[in-house]
Amino acid sequence: MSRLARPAVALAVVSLAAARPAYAELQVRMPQVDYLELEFEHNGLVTFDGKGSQLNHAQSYTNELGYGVTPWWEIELEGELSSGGGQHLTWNAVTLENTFQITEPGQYFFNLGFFAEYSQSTLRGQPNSITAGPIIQKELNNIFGIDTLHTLNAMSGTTPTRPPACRSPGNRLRS
Amino acid sequence: MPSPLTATAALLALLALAQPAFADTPTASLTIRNQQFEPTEVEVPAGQKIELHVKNSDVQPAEFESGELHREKVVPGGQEVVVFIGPLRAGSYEFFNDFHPSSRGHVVAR
Repeated sequence: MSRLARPAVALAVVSLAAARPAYAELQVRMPQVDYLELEFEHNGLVTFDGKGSQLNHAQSYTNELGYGVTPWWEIELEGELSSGGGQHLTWNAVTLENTFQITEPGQYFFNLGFFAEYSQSTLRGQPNSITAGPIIQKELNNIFGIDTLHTLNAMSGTTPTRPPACRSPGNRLRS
Repeated sequence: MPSPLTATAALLALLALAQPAFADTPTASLTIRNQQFEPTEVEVPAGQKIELHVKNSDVQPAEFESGELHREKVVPGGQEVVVFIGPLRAGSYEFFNDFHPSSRGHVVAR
């Protein structure tokens, strides 16, 4: 995540997160690339539900290593671990993610990017998957004295346990 | 819902049409020399989008960064990048070189 986001109050809302035990990899993606920057990103999600439910204490974690190869292309290698409630964590998949920055932030009415990933399952019998789609972002500065950032991911994928297409909106106040 | 490819194609077409609208965007320039910004204060008009050209005269890369302007961009050695900022309210906005944080300056919107 960009260093600029650290002081911001994040109000990210990720939709469609409850279809599987946990989805730490479901996140709002930004259309910007940090050229020449090496980044490590860790995401974790634990869900709580009624006793005996598969969702109770289900866990999901991702660890990513990314690098801005060019001013418009960032590549990330991700490992995914997850478990259902009361189960041990298992290594699910290795994923190669690509973010393409199409427009310069603030140049046009929208900031535009494109995301594409290939996920290789490490579990026997589980299919590999491809997910891709545009990232659309709108900066609104000085609206009643507040700067905000609104981001929409419109992803389609081949993962059978997920919907064929999903939208992940994220809204962030900027300080 | 349109497919992602259709949506992307439609947005690219919109962007292509929108480009002439920004042809008269005011510009300002900054140079990084010996890891310092020149000038350290850049005056720009308030209430308008600004095209800020940042040139790095050094061999080492630099990074133009500003939390107040919501921008960060690496400037490779010997190259120039364009950063779009604003529209800004009247005031002073600090920026710095993230690879050499003691190097700082301000964009002043009037």
